[in-house]
Amino acid sequence: MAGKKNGAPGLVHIQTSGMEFVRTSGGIEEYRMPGNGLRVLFMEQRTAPVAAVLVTYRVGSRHEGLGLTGATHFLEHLMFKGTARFNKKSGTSIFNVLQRVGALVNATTWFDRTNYYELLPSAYLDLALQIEADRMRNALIDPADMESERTVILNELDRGENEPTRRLHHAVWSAAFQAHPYHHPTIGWRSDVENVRREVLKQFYDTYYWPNNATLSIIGDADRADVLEKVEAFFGGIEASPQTIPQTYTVEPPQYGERRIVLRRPGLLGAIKMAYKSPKGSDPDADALDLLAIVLAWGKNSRLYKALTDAGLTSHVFASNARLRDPGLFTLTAMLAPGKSHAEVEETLRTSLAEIVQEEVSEKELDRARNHMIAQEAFGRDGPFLIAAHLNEAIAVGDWTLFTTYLDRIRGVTSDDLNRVARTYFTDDGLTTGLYVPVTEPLT
Amino acid sequence: MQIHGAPGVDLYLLPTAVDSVVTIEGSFTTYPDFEQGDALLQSLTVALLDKGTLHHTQFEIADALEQTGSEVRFSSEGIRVAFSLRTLRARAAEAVFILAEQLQQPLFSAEAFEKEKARMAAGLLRSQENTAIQADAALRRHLFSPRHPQFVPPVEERLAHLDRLNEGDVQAYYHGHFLDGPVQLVVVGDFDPADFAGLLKSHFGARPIRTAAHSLTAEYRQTEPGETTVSVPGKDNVDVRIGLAVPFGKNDPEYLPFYVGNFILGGNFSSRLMSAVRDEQGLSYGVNSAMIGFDRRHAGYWRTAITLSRGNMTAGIEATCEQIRLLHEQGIQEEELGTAKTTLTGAFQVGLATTHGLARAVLLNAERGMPPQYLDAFPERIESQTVDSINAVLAAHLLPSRLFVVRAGDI
Repeated sequence: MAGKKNGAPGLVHIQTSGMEFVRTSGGIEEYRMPGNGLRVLFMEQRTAPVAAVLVTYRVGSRHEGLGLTGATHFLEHLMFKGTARFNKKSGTSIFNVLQRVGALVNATTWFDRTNYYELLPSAYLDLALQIEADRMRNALIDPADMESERTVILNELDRGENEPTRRLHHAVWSAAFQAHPYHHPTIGWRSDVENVRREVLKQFYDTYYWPNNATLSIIGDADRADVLEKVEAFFGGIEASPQTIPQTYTVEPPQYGERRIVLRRPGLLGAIKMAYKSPKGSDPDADALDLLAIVLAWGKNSRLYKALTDAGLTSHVFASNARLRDPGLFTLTAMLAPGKSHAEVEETLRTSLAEIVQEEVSEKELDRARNHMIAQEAFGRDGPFLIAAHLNEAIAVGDWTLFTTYLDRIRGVTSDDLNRVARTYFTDDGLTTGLYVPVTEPLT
Repeated sequence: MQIHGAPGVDLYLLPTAVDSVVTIEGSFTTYPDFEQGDALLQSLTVALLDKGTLHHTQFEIADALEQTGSEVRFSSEGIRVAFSLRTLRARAAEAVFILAEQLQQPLFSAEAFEKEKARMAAGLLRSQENTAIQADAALRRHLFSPRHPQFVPPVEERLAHLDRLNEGDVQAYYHGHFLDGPVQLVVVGDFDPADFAGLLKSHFGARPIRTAAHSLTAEYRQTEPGETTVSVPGKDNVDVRIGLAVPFGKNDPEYLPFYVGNFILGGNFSSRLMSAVRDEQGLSYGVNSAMIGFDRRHAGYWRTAITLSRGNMTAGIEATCEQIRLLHEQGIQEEELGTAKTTLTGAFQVGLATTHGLARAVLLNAERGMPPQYLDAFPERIESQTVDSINAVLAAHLLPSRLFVVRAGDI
């Protein structure tokens, strides 16, 4: 394959006949297949003789309407049932073919994306690419497969509902979002999973599973020219979608007051989740919120560890800033210690939040949070799969360079930014509070 | 890999091409008296290692680690205490200093002791709501005597025991059991081996090594077949465990054939159990089989774990038991073994792709008392397995007539 120089000075980019170089950032190169719009991200990392292949489809539960909840996740399961070429009846099931060479194989579904991945000895990179290319347009979605998988998913749903924190998570997100599809759980409402038909899933597949709605990330022990040549060979023959990929246009209306939900279930210990409306993941304010989550609840020197866990009010406390394509939630979750009431824990949470809104975050706290992020970024490049996984989430938000530029942005956040962002988002008008209340007597 | 033997520390140093990251994994033996409830006491002692030292408060230590982005973890693992450190090259020396101080000069303050007791009690209460934990514990209670590292007392007993413990118990346990013998330490990542060898020897090598005062009595006992149910209100998903005790240890000749046979039964998505119970019959989201708790010094147990919605519980257990029966009676086939061999050797290579994966593999190998070459030869040892050797071990030890079944959920 003929190559030529492209991109930034000093960097050599091989442009194959079928692939266009787009840009490079943080050691990762982006290419585009002009014939069908497939995006390709590549990074050479030769720390071990393995490579990660990860396909991100820009479709998630945010694309599901009423009655279709869980469709993206259901389809993810069926994608492992195979194609005419790779299937169990022929002795070539996707799992079997990949796992027999030692591959780590799986897939995940979330609000904004679905991804399929393989981490495998680099000698078998072709195999992973061949399978991902094949199932992009040739999935069987067989009715019999669908029925056996339906009960599998219903059991997955039951399993998740066994967890008090999962139930509380779903209840809070459903209360916080009334119009936007972040309202419903990615796994779907039970009745939708029980009743969704094959034609609906096939239609969903034919709407969203196209190269122009996907990004293929290849990280690891591989040569750029060789990788691009293989990608072209396996994916080059797939056409772009005949129609424009539909986008979700529903915007969550403003929230004008606190919402409270109470979840009563059999159990022994309670929990509280306080969730504030937060900006979309690509908004610069999201970086400051990431740092605030560390200041508030990561490590023994975090404010909430000291105020709650070290004080004996909780056994654990977490903060999380969900970075999504559309505005999401910044959540604080507190697991109550025995004998402690929801009221006293909630009061302490609110006091800590009021302090962070009213008083300046110290430079020392900011440094602590920044250094944590810097180390996490380095740890996140320990092996090809982690890099691919981070890219996957950035792609879902809308721009893969959100991963590669993260540290520079974090270094630019000031304590003033933290206070401004806390004042902007930690308001009662945008708050949804969920209480998990254990009951010891049987529920009627 | 560089290997350094020094009084008090066995060092394994493996620099890799990763950028900036340094991972340390280590452990030492403690030999708790399990019959006296030392497992709980050891867990409490371990939980207090990061709550301050003779020289620094827990917040000063946390501050020093957090300001460098370093992460230290301690865990209680049967007859051992394990620890790990993940840090950056530029801050590794100070992080090692802190780790050594935490391990060798813990404070065990009265205040921290009371707080940790309360946290542990909360964890035990919360575990009563977890069907998977309850199913595991009930199975292990049935399979093992209280002297065995895998025995788990009921939650009520552990709560009562926790209530009786005092600060002096922790001090006495620490001084009687911790750091008696050599520490095994593995370092992987971006570091200079010469610098690190000196650093670690100075921190961990200058300790008096006592003659082993402890031993282990962890005899195998044959499993009495049967079943039991743990009622966990409000849990629609039932966690099921089907298992039995196995009479050999990790370094015995039966271990590897049984390991490969078990892998064919329930080791991954392509296994017999996943294929039959999930893929074909749609009864469960997840079913697997595993060998757990094996050490070179004692045997462990084998079990299948199944997650089942209540309506599919009976069918799911029957389908799983049928696969176990078929494996016991008919054994594995040549083609299955060929696939298992390439899967296991390939997965071995993939598992070493991160500093953590590599460090953990080297440490587990060292804990077995094996030289690094033994780890390197893993693919050859897998390749040497035969259908006959595996089937003979399965026929002798995977006994459907001895299985004990536990169900945990709202039944």
